[in-house]
Amino acid sequence: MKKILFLVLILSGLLVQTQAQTQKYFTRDGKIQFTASTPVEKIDATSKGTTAVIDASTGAIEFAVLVKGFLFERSLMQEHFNENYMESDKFPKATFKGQIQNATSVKWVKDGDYPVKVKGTLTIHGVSREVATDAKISIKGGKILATTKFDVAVADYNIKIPSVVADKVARIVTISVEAGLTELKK
Amino acid sequence: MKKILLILLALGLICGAIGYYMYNKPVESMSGIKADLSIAATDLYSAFETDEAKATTLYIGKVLEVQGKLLNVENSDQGGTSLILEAGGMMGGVVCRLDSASTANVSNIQPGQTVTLRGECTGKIMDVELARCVLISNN
Repeated sequence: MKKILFLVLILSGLLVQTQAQTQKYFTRDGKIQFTASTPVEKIDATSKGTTAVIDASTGAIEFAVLVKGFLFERSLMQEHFNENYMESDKFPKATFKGQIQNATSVKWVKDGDYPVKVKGTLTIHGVSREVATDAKISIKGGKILATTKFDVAVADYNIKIPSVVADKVARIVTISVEAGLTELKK
Repeated sequence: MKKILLILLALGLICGAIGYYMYNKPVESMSGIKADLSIAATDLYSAFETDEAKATTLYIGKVLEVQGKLLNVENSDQGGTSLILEAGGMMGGVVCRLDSASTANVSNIQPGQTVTLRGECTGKIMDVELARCVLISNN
């Protein structure tokens, strides 16, 4: 009898473990958009190549995007963005590594919209800073849509704007994130 | 005197026009750009795996023509289309993110085919990535 109980315990333990393992969600095609527009100049760019992982069991999240993957409408702007501002040859990636503060309030298997608070380290242009923002997790049919929008001051990330274009480029850049994640099967 | 002024004015106008054109020039499509080098997806991936710093200086920002076996075509809800090429790695492959104008050209290609794509190498996260890709050939 004791033996059977023991077996059951081990088995259920295994079950719980495998369940925890499958609670990771992943995408490599998330969208990040930013705008640094001013009244005199429209400046925005999009990357549809954001890699993101959310661990539903712990609330840990990671986003990474390659800076050269941001596309502008104008070639010259894209060149300046890469060479003068972001120095993307030297710093090819921008990353965010953090934690959903209220991960337990998200019912990962139940459809719905869940507002969350996210905190973590944002690394842009080789500079890492602690950031916090509100975000939304929307769950529909087993898929997760993670969205957020937040402001970043370019000076915080040691990005210098030459005085010639000072009135054309915004000091505060608004970043919008939209990533559709699916369960990671591996 | 009048003639010189006129010439100067014409020159000024031409320069202005060229400047305006350059300023507003859209990002050029990869279909019209010559590749810096041609490489197999497996070689590109292993270059980043073995020495990322070296691969960064060698490949990032370069226009590459990459050949490899197509594993999958991914269409995201956010509007991106990516072709994943087999690269021999456990954790990643070579991801070619298509130019939004050339997504239609890949509608009839199948996983398992050997494909060649041209695009700008942007670096590696889990996969080695190429941006603004156009399909060059498939068989």
